[in-house]
Amino acid sequence: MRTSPPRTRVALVLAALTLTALTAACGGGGAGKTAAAAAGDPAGKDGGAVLRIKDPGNAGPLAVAKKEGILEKRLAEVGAKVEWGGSYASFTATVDAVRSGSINVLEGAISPVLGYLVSSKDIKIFAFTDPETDAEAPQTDGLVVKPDSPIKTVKDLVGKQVAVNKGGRGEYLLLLALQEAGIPADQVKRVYLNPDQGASAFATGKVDAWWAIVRAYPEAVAKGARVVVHGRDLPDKDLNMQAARTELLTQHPEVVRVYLKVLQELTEEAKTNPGKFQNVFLTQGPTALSGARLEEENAKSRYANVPRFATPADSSYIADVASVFQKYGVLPGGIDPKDVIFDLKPAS
Amino acid sequence: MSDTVSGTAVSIRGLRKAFGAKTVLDGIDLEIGRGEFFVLLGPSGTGKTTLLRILAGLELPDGGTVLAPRRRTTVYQEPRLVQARRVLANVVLGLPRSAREAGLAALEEVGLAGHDRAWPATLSGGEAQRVALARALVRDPELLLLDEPFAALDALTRLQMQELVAELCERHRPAVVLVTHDVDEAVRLADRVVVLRDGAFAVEQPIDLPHPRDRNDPAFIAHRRLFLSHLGVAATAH
Amino acid sequence: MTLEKIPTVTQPIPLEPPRYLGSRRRPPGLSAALRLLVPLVLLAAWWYGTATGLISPEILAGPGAVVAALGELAATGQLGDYLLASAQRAGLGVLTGGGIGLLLGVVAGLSALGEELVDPTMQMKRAVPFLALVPLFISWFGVEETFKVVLIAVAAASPMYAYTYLGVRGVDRKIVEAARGFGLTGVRLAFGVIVPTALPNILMALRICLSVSLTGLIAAEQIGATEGIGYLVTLAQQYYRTDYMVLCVVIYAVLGLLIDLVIRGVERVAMPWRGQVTAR
Repeated sequence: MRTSPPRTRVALVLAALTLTALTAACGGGGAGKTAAAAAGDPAGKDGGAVLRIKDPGNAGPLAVAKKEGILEKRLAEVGAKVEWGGSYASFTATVDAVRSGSINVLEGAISPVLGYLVSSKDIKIFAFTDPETDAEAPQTDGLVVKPDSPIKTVKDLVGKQVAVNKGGRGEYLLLLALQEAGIPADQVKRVYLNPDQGASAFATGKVDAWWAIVRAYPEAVAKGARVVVHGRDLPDKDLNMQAARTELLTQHPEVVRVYLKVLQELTEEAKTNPGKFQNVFLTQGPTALSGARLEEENAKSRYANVPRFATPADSSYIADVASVFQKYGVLPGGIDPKDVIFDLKPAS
Repeated sequence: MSDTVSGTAVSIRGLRKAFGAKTVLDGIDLEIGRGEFFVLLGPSGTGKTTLLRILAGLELPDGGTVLAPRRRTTVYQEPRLVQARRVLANVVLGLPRSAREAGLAALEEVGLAGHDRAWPATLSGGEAQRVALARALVRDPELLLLDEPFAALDALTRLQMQELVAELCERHRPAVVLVTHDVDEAVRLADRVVVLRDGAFAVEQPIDLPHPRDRNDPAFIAHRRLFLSHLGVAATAH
Repeated sequence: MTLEKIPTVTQPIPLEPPRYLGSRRRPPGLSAALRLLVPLVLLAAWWYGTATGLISPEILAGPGAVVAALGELAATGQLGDYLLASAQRAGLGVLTGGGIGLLLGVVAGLSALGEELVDPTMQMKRAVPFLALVPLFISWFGVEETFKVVLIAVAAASPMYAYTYLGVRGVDRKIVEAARGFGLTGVRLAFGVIVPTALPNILMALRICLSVSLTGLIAAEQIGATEGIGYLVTLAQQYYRTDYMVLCVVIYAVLGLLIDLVIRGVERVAMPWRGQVTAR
């Protein structure tokens, strides 16, 4: 027992030392990187531009670009670099990351970024992807109900609860569908849930219907859900877009052009060789696809349109989406569509 | 103690208890009569307290049989009062509400009338120990276990408390087991003294002197000398 | 001493072996079996419910699916990477946050001035849910490791402070007085007497800090992460994999168990004087 107090003291001293050492290491390692990121400075230490992209996941053109180092090589030719970041649980979190400068290139639909564009001039849209018009192309979203649901048409939604993602594509499409059917929006209860929360609420019958988008849609259909209406059946103006932080676009437009060029080439390649663009890093685990789901994604790639430069004429899309949100009070302020489009197209 | 109360209060046969490799009680046989004041004398760590704790049900014997009355109660070296409850609530702890009157009477008996609403933290050491004594008395025990109850008190208070305990035991006549290492205390209070050494009784001696006992009585001195020699202390040192 | 006469009692009183009032030491095997009982019953109910179809796999994936998911994750080497990444973040966060909490707790518990300076702020900080700080922290620290570690540190500081403060206040003033009399002051007093005495509280706090850090991991790794067990939760949700969601729950449960075991071990090593105390 006589040895115990020194032993305790040694343990305490050790703990204190480890603490100090680790804190120092942590501060030293992380500080430089984040300071640059927090400032939103597009330039790296040697003055070249740095493209900051969030984790592309396990599928798609960017995943292949990351795996094969295509962007690294092509950007080096214009003296720029790429930094691959982490992933984000929600679009809100992604927007936070864009605001702090941890990400400076962003991909998504028009609808979710509108809220951010109203309050900030940080980012501008430089490319759009036109919607599929081919009837053969797989659907990418839909208003789903349980197979035995009494809801047959949009009109049956009156008095029902519908899960949508707030201020995003789901809410936009629901409002648009109600508008087309001539139903006042307040007669349908919108339940705001993120896609993942919507999935469990729908599966357990806590909501009557759900506008499933992106990955959630094929999941819902695979589990037997019945589709009432697709986005493609509506005058949907909510295009997919590419945006970047304004200072990156103004100071290094050529870098963003290279990025778009690579994206275009890879999307084109995916049409003919879609298998290469699925399960890019992992063939096992939660992100890996197989069977019918894999087939469906391959089909989507075959029909996918290639992103193109945004033009001033595209402001009509933004105006249309914004007007639907403004009409129902989803969007707080007004927005000038011309303000948010950046004309990146080289003057040739 | 002129009145005799017949019968047995404690019966122990072949009691053994060990802590690890150390045997503290090694085949103890003991009978204590009703109303008898029995004192266990011994240096620290000889198992006196263990014997008392076995009688109180706080330790399990390793062997042998132990029989004791159901109504028994303990006063410890420290008062062990619940600091968050008032003095009277401490005295009648665990008793029905009807015991309030008896509790007040017990407080009066130990000389603390009027202290029933006081908080334990406001009492002196002697007063707190009196509350502990009242808490034991109010249960009208057939066996009263005293675990060095005066050891933490100053010399004067100790003498007063010994007086009080002698008086109360004379009046209520429980069987008493007092554990102490104070030879004078043992001779002063006991009907019978046992010195515990190496797990067994080294000496067993009835004390048949009239109360109150005088420390300078030659018989008192003879007893003291006997016990001290069994405790390994030269009598002249005292 | 004039005493009233007590009537002579002749009726013998019934004697009995004293009823044991202490706690019995139970055989270690029985103790271990009882410990496992409730988790095993839950496991059996889960297995039975999913195997018989009482519970739909959309609501709760069955043990088979979860084990398969675990196998996949282990095969790709992600499980180890994720655990390591999370352990690093949680460890750093708890060390910094807990260290600061410990320091402030000792200061506030020991000196009146310290209490006046530190305590009101810490009480206010305690009321702020650390999740409310996420957006602010992103703009201050970015989304990299610093952000994640700071978030966990902030979450861990509060319980460590509160328990240390209580523990230090609970140290016997008389012992502190005596130690001061032997010439101990400042750091030597704190680490020689106060902290060892308050160690039970501090280890309790460490237990809570580690649990809180698991919550912090989920929040932190939702943002800008490519590995970690909190990231796995996000992935499972984004890809609608109920098997992985349940796997995450299982991983968290196992981590909870491990934390408990580790702290018990630390208690045994750091507080050898405990467990030898009896009521005597």
